[in-house]
Amino acid sequence: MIQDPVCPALEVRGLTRRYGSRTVVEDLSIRVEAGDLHGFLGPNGAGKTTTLRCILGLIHVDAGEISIFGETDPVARRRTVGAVVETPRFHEWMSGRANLEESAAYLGREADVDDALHRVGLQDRAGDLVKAYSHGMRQRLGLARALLGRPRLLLLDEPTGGLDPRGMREVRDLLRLLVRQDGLTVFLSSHLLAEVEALCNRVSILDRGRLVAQEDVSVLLERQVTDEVVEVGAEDCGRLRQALADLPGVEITGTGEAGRTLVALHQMTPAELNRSLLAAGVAVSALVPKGPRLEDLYLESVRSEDRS
Amino acid sequence: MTGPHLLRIYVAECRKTLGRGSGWTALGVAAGVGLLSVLVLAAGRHLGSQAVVNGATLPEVIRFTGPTALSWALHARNFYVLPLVLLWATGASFAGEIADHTLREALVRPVPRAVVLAAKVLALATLSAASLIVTATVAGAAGAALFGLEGTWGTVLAGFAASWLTDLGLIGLGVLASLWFRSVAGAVVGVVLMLMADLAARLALKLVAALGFETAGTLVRWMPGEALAAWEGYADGWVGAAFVGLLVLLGGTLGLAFLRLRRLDLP
Ligand SMILES: Nc1ncnc2c1ncn2[C@@H]1O[C@H](COP(=O)(O)OP(=O)(O)OP(=O)(O)O)[C@@H](O)[C@H]1O
Ligand SMILES: [Mg+2]
Repeated sequence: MIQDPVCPALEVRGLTRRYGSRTVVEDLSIRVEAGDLHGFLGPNGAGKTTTLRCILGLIHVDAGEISIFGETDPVARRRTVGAVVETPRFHEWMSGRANLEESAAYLGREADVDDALHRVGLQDRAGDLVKAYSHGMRQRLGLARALLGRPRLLLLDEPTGGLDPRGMREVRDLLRLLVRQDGLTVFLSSHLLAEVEALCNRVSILDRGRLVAQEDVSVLLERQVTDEVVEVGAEDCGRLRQALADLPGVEITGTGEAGRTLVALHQMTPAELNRSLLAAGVAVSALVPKGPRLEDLYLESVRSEDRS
Repeated sequence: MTGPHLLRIYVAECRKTLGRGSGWTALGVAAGVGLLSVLVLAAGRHLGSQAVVNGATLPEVIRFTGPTALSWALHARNFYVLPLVLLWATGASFAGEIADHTLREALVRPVPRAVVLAAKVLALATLSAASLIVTATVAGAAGAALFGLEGTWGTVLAGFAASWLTDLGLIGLGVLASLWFRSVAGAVVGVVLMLMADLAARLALKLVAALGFETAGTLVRWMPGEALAAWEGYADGWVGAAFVGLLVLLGGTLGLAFLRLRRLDLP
């Protein structure tokens, strides 16, 4: 089958899924370009796993269309996909290798089980029963299973969940390598903002089943650069707030750590702010640049949804 | 889907079906039942004319031959023992894999659900066949060693073959119950309760038939329990209706199971 090279790796259009009367995913549209490492960000219960299940045809959809490299048929579109949904599950009484062999049989094409095990560093424990695996080992075995048969698109549900810092780094390095070397496309859900920021070039942010942003991570970060955020602490908080209110080009956005005040700077650098405050007689005890962080954007997106 | 792909899925399912606790229990019990039946028959011969049953000595009512040993093994096997283990295996393959989400892991692969259903049913049919072969081999060998080769073996072996078909009917019921209850225990208990209800209904209908209502007698012949007893025909004469009923039972249960599986959310 020849696939259109300009086709997106994954395209979701108008996806809606209800549980009873509750709409869990609503009119969701996502486009993942081939070669992207696309983050799917959202708080707990946003509907990330539900969306992945719909994409994989594990649960029915109430509305919407899904295509993977242009293929819409629910069975055929899984041909190019490797997936981990929620915590990967295995036959506990079988070895890790036997579990992968079973999955390879269902896959139906040549799949190098040993290579997949090697990639996640499980080659030495592959003969052990999964029953005896730690959480991190299961997570890696799930990733190995998803890599069987060299898929073109990886759908991963919180792939670093429950891993220790080293395990997290290994998985992230592996994903980067897969994208760079094998030209794989990765669509990964996460509620770890730092992960998406560090790993992905594009992000879709989901909140309560609705898409609130879909952009290049760099564009999203840049947009905020003009609006730098700093945290200001002073001995006399009342006086600080009063002075800030009188200054043009600054805006109090909230309360930061240790009772410090969060300030957005529109036409001012942190140094200028410091000088102005001292001139106004405020004894500044701390001035922490917060920088434009995806976390802020993310929380902002989610918070603005709350208000509406 | 290609032939080799289908074959690989079937082999993978067989590997799991035979490797699970229910799988090797089925084979172990099959061997045990075969051996035990022959030993009981041998004990009967040993008691010989000392034992009196209904006013007749044992050699007057029982022919101590190899085929008798084999037939005892078949009856012992079909009397709840293997049917229960097969139901357990069916529940483990369907309800168990739904409950522990391992079925989902197969379904993320490019395989239609109908293929998964077919591969699992064929693997269970293979387990049933293997258990029958084990019982027949153990009981046949032990029977021949203890009682000699004389007698008509073919008839009893036909009973074993028919038991494979009735096992399929039972597996069909187990699959359907698995997809409804989605727990191994639920599937086993569900089918057992259904069969008990069926037995009670058949007894009631037979009573009604004895009172002169012939339709009741006709109805009994089409109940699932009669279909599942089709194997008994090797001794008393084959009942065509029972086999037709078995076919209907298998087609009906698997058809319904397919419709159910196709719509089921398997998160
Ligand atoms: N089987 C179900 N029945 C009813 N509601 C469900 C079911 N499965 C999920 N939900 C609801 O759908 C919503 C989205 O769940 P989902 O698991 O997709 O969230 P998520 O974004 O993956 O969250 P997390 O980060 O915690 O994994 C939740 O509110 C959840 O309660
Ligand atoms: Mg989730």
